[in-house]
Amino acid sequence: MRFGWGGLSILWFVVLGEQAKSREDDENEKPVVENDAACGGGW
Amino acid sequence: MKSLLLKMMLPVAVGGSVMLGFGSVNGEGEDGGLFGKIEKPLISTTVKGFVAESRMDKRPKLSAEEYAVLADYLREVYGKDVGEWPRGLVDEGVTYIEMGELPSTPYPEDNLPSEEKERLGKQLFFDGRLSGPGQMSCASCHIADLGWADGRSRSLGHGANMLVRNTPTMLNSAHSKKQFWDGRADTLEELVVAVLTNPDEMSNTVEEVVESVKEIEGYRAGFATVFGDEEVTIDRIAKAIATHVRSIVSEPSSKFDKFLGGKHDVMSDSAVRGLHLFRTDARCMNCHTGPLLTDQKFHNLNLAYYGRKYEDLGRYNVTGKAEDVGKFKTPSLRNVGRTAPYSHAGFFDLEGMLNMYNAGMPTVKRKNGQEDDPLFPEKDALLKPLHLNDQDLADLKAFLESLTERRRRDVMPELPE
Repeated sequence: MRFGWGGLSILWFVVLGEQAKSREDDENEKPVVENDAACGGGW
Repeated sequence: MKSLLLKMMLPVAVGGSVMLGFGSVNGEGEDGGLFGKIEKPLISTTVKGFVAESRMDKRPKLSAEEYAVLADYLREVYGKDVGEWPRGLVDEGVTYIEMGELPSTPYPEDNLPSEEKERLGKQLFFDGRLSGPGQMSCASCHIADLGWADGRSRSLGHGANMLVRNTPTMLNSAHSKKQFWDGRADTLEELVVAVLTNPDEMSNTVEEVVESVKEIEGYRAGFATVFGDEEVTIDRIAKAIATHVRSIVSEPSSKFDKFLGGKHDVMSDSAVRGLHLFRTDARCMNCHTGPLLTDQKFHNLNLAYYGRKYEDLGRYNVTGKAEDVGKFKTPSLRNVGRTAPYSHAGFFDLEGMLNMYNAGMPTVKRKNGQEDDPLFPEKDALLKPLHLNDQDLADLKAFLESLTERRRRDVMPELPE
């Protein structure tokens, strides 16, 4: 395994970071909907 | 005992609402109606951390017997000529137009109809050779079996790419004062040219459309018959297609039309109660008014996805006015049962749409950075939570389904060579 555990760990943290960034983008995009639950949620 | 009491009091309650509800132009959704002011909140609970007040705060349900009594009474009220119906409720400032039979089709003076013109228009309507790739026609999206829409959330355009909006039905578009969801065309003739030359739709150019039609001998003969000579122009093509589109109007075949015509037993109890709700506590007539069941105006239901990936600013893209952000044309509700899905981007089925209106449509708050945004869309003030219960929603649905007309099928005509 030429890549090694170190490389694998870095790759893992990169993937986690991207996921977190993507979640953050989603949160930034989502509006605040006062009656979200009444509208079925997810607005 | 309770039912008996209701029977005895119902005429009084209805009588009261004739004065308060029917006669008033101040249509406060929670007030008025047959049973007076609704007490709220009925239920206060927490769902997934949200206080779901709007969802749970509903009008009280009646017993089956009470609903039947109500329907009988309403059948009597609406069993008279439309001119004698109690006035529906609309908010102050809203123009009230009574429901009724559809008037005759209006035709522009510079494009009067003839049988030959309608026939030529129908051929062009079905002819894929008018599109850039030669495969897509008007009939690709406006399908008679599907209420002259296409049954999709959003239309499939050139290259089978999904477009941003739902295909509106072309039924009764002859009566529309503005065409397209955003009203960017004033006439059907303008609409035809816009669709033919839209790179995302039929993806052609004016020159190519004319050239394609001109090359077909049968069309040249058709143009000579209709317009007096063989000259093919985009104006003539548009006029012929628009004439065919204008011929697609409602037939008085729906249960509601029959009800209007005096057959008062064709509508179910549920549909009759739904008719009354439509005219009163459901606040529908604030926008869905008149024989066409539309005010022909533009409203913001807060479904524009402002500032988000699928943002669609609607009427604003035509007028450039901040107050038009997120506004879309009020669609006619005639034959609405056949034109699902609904809204400008086909977000909902009929039940979903009713649930959204019941919630008052999404109320979006300004986020940080949007405090002074002049384009931040403001939801139409006519939209308010309705507090309708499940039976109310079922009744409204039944009424809307009573607007469904006879299914019509359209056979592709023989195209000229």
